[in-house]
Amino acid sequence: MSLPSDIAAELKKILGPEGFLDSEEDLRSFAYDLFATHRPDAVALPATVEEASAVMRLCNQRHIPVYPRGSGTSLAGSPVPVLGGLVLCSSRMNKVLEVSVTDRLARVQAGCVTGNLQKAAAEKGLMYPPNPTSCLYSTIGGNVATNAGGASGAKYGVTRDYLLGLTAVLPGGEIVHMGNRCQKDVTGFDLPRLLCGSEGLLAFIAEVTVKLIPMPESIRTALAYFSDVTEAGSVVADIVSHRILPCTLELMDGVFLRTVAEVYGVPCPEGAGAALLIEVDGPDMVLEGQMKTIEAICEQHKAVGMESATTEEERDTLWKARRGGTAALVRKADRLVTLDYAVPVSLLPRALKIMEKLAEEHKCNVVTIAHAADGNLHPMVLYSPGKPEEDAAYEAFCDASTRAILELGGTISGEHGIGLEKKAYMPMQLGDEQMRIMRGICRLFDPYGIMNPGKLER
Amino acid sequence: MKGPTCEYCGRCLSVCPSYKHHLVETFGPRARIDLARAVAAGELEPGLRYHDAIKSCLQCLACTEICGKGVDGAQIILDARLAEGDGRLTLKRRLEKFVTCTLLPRRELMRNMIRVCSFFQHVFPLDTRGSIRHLPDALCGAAGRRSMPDLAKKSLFDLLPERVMPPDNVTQVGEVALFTGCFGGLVNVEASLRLVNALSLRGYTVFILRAQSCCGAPAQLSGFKEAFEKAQAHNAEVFASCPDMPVLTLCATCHRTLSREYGAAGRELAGRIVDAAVFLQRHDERRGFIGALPENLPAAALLRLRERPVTAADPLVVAVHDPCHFRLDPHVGRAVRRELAARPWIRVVELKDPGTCCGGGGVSSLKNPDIADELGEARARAVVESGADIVTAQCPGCVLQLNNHLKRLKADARACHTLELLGK
Repeated sequence: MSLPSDIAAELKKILGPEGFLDSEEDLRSFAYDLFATHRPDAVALPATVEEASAVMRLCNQRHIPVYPRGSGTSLAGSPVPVLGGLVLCSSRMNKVLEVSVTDRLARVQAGCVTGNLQKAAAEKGLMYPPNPTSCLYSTIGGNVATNAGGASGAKYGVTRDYLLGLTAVLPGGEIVHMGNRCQKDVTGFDLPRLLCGSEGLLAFIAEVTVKLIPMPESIRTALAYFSDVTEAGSVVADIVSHRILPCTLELMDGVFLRTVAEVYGVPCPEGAGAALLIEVDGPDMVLEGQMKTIEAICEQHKAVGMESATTEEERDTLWKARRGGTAALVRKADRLVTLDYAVPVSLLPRALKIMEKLAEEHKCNVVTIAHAADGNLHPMVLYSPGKPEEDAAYEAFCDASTRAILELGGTISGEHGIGLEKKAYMPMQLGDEQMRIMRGICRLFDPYGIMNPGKLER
Repeated sequence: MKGPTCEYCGRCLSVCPSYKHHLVETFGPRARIDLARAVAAGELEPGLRYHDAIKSCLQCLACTEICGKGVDGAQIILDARLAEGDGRLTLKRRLEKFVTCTLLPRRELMRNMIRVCSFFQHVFPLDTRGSIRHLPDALCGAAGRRSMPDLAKKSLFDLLPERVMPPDNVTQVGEVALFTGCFGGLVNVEASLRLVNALSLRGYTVFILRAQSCCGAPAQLSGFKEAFEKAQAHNAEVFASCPDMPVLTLCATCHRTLSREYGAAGRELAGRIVDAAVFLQRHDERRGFIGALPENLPAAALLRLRERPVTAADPLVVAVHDPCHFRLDPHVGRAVRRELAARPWIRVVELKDPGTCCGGGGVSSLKNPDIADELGEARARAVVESGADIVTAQCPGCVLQLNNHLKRLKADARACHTLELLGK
């Protein structure tokens, strides 16, 4: 399929030859994310909000599907153009427009890579805390559209917690400035935060204003090993009950640790079946006491080994296990799919146990890591696609684990989003009434259903 | 297609200079890998856009280095270029083919041409600021603001015999062969001379085989398979006459090509390739050889800058630029820093964003002049910010690029080959 020639000509006129792509090579290149692939009919790369607005107006008039896209790093198929149509990519709108120390905010274009925003803030002694693993290559527009989180979510929250305002282009082409530069604002509904996590179903996000916080003075890191994941899970609950909120609390299971030991030669203590990477940040004088409490808790839970770091170099060594482990696993498998669930922190040990049981039941190779302080777990399934029995085992594990998380009172996605991956499960979690309200909101923003169609059933 | 399969995570987009310039996925590693795979599998008919995407890669290896899955993006793209072959033979492509496949492999012809060019170059007065002269500046204007190097009047092969023995008062410790590369052998022989001097003083007999030819990188990077394979076979045969001894290189691109790209025909040679600076560092660490403070102040003598004398109390500030083609050999950068830092008259400083491409290596500045210009300027600014007197690199392409941009910025700092300092 390709766009009707008059629409293609009109888009070319709006965007110029660099902003409108329809060669086979370009269409292929904007077809995928980590989860799915589908070829669009054309690609638009607006350089300004006005260009994006003109494109949206035209598509709305002619009922052409529009798929907003940042860097295409979603793990759930959210930006994939399943019905063809136009990919509207923000990559050319990539500037940091302003970092204000006094107003403690930054204004950036949607295509700005989140890491660049963090760097610009850091240059002025400020911090933009949401820190998804992909922050060096995902865009802030995509982070807002999926309400991205990351390893420091428990202490610092997620993208939505930092959103002050945004400029959205509605399907009719209207440019709407939602929210403002105020740190407090209770006037009307909170529309910026409604758009946050809407996965491109409501509008194209063109510009974002985010809150910044002062950079913490210091950071302390410890890596503690335990006999199994349940024990490690209990440590997490205990640390949080002591009113300590670590900025990192990464849980790794035994398979993960053994892979690290095997691939990188990082020694792992005898009898270790799980590990916790713990970080606390803040004023130096407070951290000393916090680390002592954490060490005592780990000892109470019979830690089989513990290392700590105060310098950046030592910290890097401790992080090697966590960072290197994922890379090592990725290399071991033909395919590694990272699933995403979240449960209340108190239920994390049970959720981890269930994942182990289900993996065994379905004969699936599953390794689990977790951003433990916010109960966000990532079972990683390693398998060889194309082998019928492995494909079936993978499908069965995904289905069973999603249903088990729902039964436990958890959520089917903590940070990756719904997209295509979990579309069938969303009604199970939200129920008819919430789905009806969501569909109604979609219709209000997008009466012709041109925004990211094929995802939410409307 | 061999090797692990790309999972489309997009991590490579964070390091690709070409993607950062174009901001279009098609010009990023993830798409190039996907397109190359599709063409190889017969799923995609390669068009002009495919050609542009494949050509826009700088071969900086950053995507290969960062990939968690171990996908060698740079190699896949290089293979795609070779598979594409001559492509559409436009006038530019014909010229490219003539230079890389006909001219470069003919050493004698190249030597004579450079000698003639050097004569005309020296007719014009010297630029007071350093290594770039007026004629090259005029030429580089015509060639799209790319600088031309200061051409040597005599090639290394005219200056030195095929076998250079250590001085009589030095105990002989071993034999090495030198792979000069086109640049180090014909164009600017300063670094090669200093290397031969340093090796002789340490007791090595140095073989400088006249029959050696271009390593084949320009042909390979431009997709001319036949010429590349010819270069490989030729050099393998030539260096077979100096068996069982290390073959030292002065250029990161030559090093990468000889050690990683040579196939069955050149495997024996590939196993003997060592970067010359790393060789010196290993020798000095094992046997101890640290140059005293030289009488000839290196900064003043080499680069005609820094008026005040170089002393241990006020040392020469040297920044190290890591050439992209050593990206997969991180021990090279570490060895060079150790070797430089061991000299009391040198203080090593780091450039910000280590490992960033300067746009000058391989044939990237010829294929993608706009990106190369952007990268060169950014890297030169990093040198200025670092406060270094000199930035060194083991790649003549990087040195040329950095000098060109430092000069444009009217900076006091200059770039030189690492061996010009280590050979002191």
